[in-house]
Amino acid sequence: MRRLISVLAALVVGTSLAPAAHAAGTKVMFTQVTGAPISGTPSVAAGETLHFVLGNFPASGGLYIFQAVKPKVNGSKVTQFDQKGALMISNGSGANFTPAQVIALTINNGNSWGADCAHQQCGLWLEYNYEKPNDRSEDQFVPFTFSALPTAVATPGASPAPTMPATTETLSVKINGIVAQANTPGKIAYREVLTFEATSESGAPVTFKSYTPDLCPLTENKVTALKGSGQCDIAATVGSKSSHFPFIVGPGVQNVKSSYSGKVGKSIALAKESNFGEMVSYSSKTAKICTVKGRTLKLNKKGNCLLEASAFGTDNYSALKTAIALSVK
Amino acid sequence: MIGVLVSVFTANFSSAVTGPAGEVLKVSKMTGIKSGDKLTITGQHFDETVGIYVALCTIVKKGLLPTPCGGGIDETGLTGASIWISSNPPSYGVGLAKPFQPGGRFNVSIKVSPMIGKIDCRKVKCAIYVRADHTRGDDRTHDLAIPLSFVK
Repeated sequence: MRRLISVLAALVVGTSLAPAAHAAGTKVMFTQVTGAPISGTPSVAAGETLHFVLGNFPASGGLYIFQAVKPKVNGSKVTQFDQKGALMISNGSGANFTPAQVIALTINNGNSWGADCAHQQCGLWLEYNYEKPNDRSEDQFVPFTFSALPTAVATPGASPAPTMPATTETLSVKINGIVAQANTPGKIAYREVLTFEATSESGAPVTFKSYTPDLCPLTENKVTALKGSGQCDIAATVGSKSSHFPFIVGPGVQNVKSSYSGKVGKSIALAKESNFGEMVSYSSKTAKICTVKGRTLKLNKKGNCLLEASAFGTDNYSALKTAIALSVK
Repeated sequence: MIGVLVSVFTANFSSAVTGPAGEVLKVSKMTGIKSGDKLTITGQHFDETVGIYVALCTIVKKGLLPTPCGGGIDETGLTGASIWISSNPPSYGVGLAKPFQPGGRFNVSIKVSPMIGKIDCRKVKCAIYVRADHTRGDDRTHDLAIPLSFVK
């Protein structure tokens, strides 16, 4: 921790106003204590714990995460932050949490580190840890709402909140046949279909539920994404035990039929639409071998015919620009 | 909606309209429509997270719920005069609602009558409307319309 603090202090002194090189890759998803995502910006009071999971965690290096006041200039590093409360997230030794865990950070009012979260915008600050002190590409401020009052006040003498009985039931979940780890954000693309399979140690039936049914509806054990961005959460439940599988939704891959063959003199009708219904246009890159008029391909001569297919994209899927090759016999 | 409708009229009875989010609504026929005609209505680039109804309704001012509509809220799928399209319907809607095709597309047919209850679309202005389904009944941001003209 001493090393951590000294490194953080050095970072503040040395690079306090260094702009972030580019958008950070790590995604913060606020969750409940179970790892189930929550929508919107969470509201937390001093002494309460903020829970979140991380997606797109960098392949190399770890991160520091701490409470901070929003930088005055977007893209700048924070200058008011809680270095004593910093967490290190890494797969290496000395980490407070691994990237796959539900991370818990207890929030304070900022007074002990010269801030006032009741009147200043506080949030989480992420940056590379001591392994990459000069790499600012993971710098990121993620705001939360600081509440002056706790969200739940304990009443002296009141009965403790009921808790679910402890269970030793274990769940094994596969997504598209691959063993999946709970609370570790996965990826799903627009209109990609993921198939969930689960078994419990006891053999009790496992049920699935989408906690984000608008974006990622679940049909039996299959889930798909209806947009090209956002976050989804699918839970597998057996008895009182639920495991959450969060996903970061990304754009889909647009494609078009690309397998054609034919002999000299033949005309071929090329696919009119892509898999997302966009009109596809074609051009020939080998005009001596083959020509295109509209969506009709004419094979003129033996050889390799090379076409370029293109179609518009949207927020949900990228534009199509692909080569199609066929051998004219 | 008024702006959308005006753009349709001034476009010399174009049979397509584009919404604020880029969604495109098309109708196979806008004018000279007779009772019993079957119209093909297609859409593309619609927000697939929002279920919609496609129906013949009387034209209303922007911001107002398009109503009345032929067939009303078709939760049964039996009336044929309005079509429910949703890729994420409530459990009772699974099998009733028609899912969007990838790309926010749909392709449906509606057999139309000039009468919506007691309202005569030969005397008042009516349109093929798209609106958010009853799970977002107050959400007017998805309303789109293409006016129709019936044979008198």
